[in-house]
Amino acid sequence: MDTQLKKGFLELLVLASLKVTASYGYRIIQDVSKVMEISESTLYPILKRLELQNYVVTYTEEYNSRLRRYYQITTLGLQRLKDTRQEFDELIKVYDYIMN
Amino acid sequence: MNKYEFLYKLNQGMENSSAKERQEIAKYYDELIQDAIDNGENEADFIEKLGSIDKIIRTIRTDRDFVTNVREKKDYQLKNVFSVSVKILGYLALGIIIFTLGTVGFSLVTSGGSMMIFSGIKLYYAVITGLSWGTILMHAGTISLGLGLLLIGLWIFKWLIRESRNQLEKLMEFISSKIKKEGE
Repeated sequence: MDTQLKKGFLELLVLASLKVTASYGYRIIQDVSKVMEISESTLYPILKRLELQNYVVTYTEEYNSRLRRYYQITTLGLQRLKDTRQEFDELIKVYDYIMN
Repeated sequence: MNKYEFLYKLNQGMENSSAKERQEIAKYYDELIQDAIDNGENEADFIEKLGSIDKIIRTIRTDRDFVTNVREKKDYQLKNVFSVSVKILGYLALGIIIFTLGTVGFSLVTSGGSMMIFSGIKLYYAVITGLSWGTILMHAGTISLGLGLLLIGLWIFKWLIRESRNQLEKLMEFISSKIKKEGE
């Protein structure tokens, strides 16, 4: 898949993986890679992007006597996911046009 | 390569980055590797899977432009919010000024007007009943004073109407531009 297109999808997938509960780097990779291949080094910039756009907030929690950083989706992030519906409808139109 | 070697090399490769960024990335990879180990993965194998350090650094660098863009956009939004609140405060202050000046204008017009009317009546009686010149002069003086106050009051009103109309037009333009922007 095209790198830019994949990047866009990955951002949404990461965001979607946080929809139910806050998560941390390693688990996000495991969840997302069930749907699309994601490398550990790609996740960092994606999380940074999401944080900068206020789609996620972070907090640290102790786990096994070390600190672990959790990512939690914000209302803005949830709204972003909702907005993708419309984007996907447009995408389907493009797909139909290309294929027919 | 073990975790410490990896983190050391990563840190070395990011010499040009800020201390904060280096620390943040080191924390991210430290946590990631530790989580993998806790999950039963082999440390060296997992680090091997992370790919070359050069590539990791390249990925972060490529994304830096995006980070800068978002920051600039945020600053712009912040400036926008700031200018909107300054404008709102400005209009609030303008409203207070208009109200105060309106009250002053109104009291000047009414007091000036009533001074003229009553002193006019008194002057009329003074002339008819043949009172002293002093009294007549005093009433005439009060009439001029009343006229002066009335004129000042009317001038304030005129200024207020002109200014508030100008400001109101500006306010309407500002509101409509905001609505248009929201709709985009």
